[in-house]
Amino acid sequence: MRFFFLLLKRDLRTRFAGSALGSFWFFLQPFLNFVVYAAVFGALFKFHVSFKGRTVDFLPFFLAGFWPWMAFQEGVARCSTVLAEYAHILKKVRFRLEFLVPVAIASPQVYIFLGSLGLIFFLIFGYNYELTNFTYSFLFILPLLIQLSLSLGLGLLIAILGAYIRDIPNWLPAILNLWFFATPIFYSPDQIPKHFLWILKLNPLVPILDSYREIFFSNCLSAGNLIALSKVLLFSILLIFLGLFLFRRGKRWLSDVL
Amino acid sequence: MSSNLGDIAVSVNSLSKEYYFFKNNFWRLLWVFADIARYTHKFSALNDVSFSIHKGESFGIIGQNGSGKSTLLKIIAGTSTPTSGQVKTCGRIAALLELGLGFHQDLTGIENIKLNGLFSGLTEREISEKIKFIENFSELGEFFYRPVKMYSTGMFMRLAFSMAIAVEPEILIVDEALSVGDQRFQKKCIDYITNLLDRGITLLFCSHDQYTVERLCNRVLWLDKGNVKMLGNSRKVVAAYQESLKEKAKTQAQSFEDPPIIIEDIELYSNGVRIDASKPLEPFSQLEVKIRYHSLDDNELNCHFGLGIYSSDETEMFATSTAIENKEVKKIAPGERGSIEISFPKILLLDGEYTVTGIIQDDTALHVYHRLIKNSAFRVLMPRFEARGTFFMEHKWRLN
Repeated sequence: MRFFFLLLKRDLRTRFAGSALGSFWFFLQPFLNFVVYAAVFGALFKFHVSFKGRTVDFLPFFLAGFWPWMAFQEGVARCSTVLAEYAHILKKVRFRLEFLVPVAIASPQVYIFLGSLGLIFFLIFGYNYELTNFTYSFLFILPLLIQLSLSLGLGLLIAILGAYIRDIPNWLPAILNLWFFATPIFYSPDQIPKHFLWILKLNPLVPILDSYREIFFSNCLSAGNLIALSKVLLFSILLIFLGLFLFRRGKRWLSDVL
Repeated sequence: MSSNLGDIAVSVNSLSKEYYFFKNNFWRLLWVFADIARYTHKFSALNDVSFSIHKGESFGIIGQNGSGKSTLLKIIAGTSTPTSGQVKTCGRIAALLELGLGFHQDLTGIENIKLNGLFSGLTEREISEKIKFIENFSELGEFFYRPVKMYSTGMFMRLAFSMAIAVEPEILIVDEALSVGDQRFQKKCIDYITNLLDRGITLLFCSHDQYTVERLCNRVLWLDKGNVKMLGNSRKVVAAYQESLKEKAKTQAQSFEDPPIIIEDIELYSNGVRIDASKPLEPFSQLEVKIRYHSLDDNELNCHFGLGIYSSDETEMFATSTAIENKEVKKIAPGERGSIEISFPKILLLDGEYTVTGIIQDDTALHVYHRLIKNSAFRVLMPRFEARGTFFMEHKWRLN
């Protein structure tokens, strides 16, 4: 565990090594993102969307889905190349390669954290939402943990397969892009025609994103969502086991192919 | 992989490594994830290799390119997996594998050290304790704080070597790495390794420089196309290996980068008269060889001298050195120009043209500062005597 945190720290520093602002980028990137979206959707296009029967301003609605998605997407995409990135070390020193996957997933989580905290303050001061219970918003940790386990399972699979199938890192952005538009991020699940709803049922990210929004905008987690979340958790755990199994087999010949 | 093996540091048991080639990616994935090996052809990098190394032993590995030396060292270091067989090691390993690996180009020297230390299992505290040592030993100066993409290969090697010894390994694996970088630093490394060996660490050493292997290692393994060709006393194995090389191709002359001392010339005299190949000598003549040296260093050097005489087909006729004969080292002042002599009261060589080679070594005789080869330095011609062969043997006939 100690190794994991030290590695994460090193990884965060390494990513922006050589740039003038260094690790400050980690705060700057989500902030700049936020400024752009706030300008576009907060000032220019003031939409409202209906979310589970409630009318919500578009900007906070969008951000509550977009930040977690970004963290998820970056983590998974990075997993497809993380082994190649660390090839110089794994060819030289023997260590537990499995650790690289959670590190790759954890480093973009800074987005989600800063984003979520930002969102909470934003909701309170900027939009004057009636947060009946402020501390309640911190329940977002629950869907976050489930999102992390989903990323981990998927990440392990993608990392080890990506090392052997070099097309994966190339295919992945397109697939993730499709996934992005198939997930209610830009739009609300309420807007989806009935006969397409089955697609949402297959998408493990939907209950996770719904939970964030429920927590922030309704201050509750509906029973239906909790059941869906637990299904996602179960699925993630299965993915982690499958991922670990394949990772253990695949890592034996890694230094020969990288 | 690490276990208690009594007094054995590394135990390698019928180790094989095969590389497979598949028709397409599907079969490769099937092999990687399901262990079903349906390959079109294979390449065997190591074939049933077994040996064990005792604690405190220095073990050399020689063989030509592609003989499996690096593969073997990688498997022992644990960064590569064998197809079959086992490796057991006992103690902390530091490996200096192929150069240039192990460093992130955008990170500075010190940042790379921290990253590598982390993967080697050191805590941040242990790393920071060693940073000073690494900075000093590597002699990188301000480059230590610059991205490694600015480094020369010599600087890479200095950083990598300093890092490897800083973790205070019980088993040190050195693969070829010492062959780059400047001479003085190479000597410093070899001295340090010698020092570590005295302290009881185990060394696995692989180099193209057979001379260093022979002097540094107790036992040597000769790998030929992945098979163990010979294993045993270093002098015997290296000699046998050299013999096989000679058959394949003539050995190439070694070149040295900025040596601290050079041999300017080798002069030959017979009874005080300067000679060369145009003035043939008779067998049993007196011969004196004068080696003229010139120190280029700012420090006093302690040197050993060596001399070799070779026939025109490069057979070593005779070679010796002050180190072999346990003579005292010669102290050479900074910038000094001078000469040493070796005299032979009677040369026993018969007809032929001979090449003379002079070498200057450091005080441990592990490191050659400079070597000068004087082709066709002298010639022996028999005017009346008609014996055949390469040299004269004392003999007596008994005819009754």
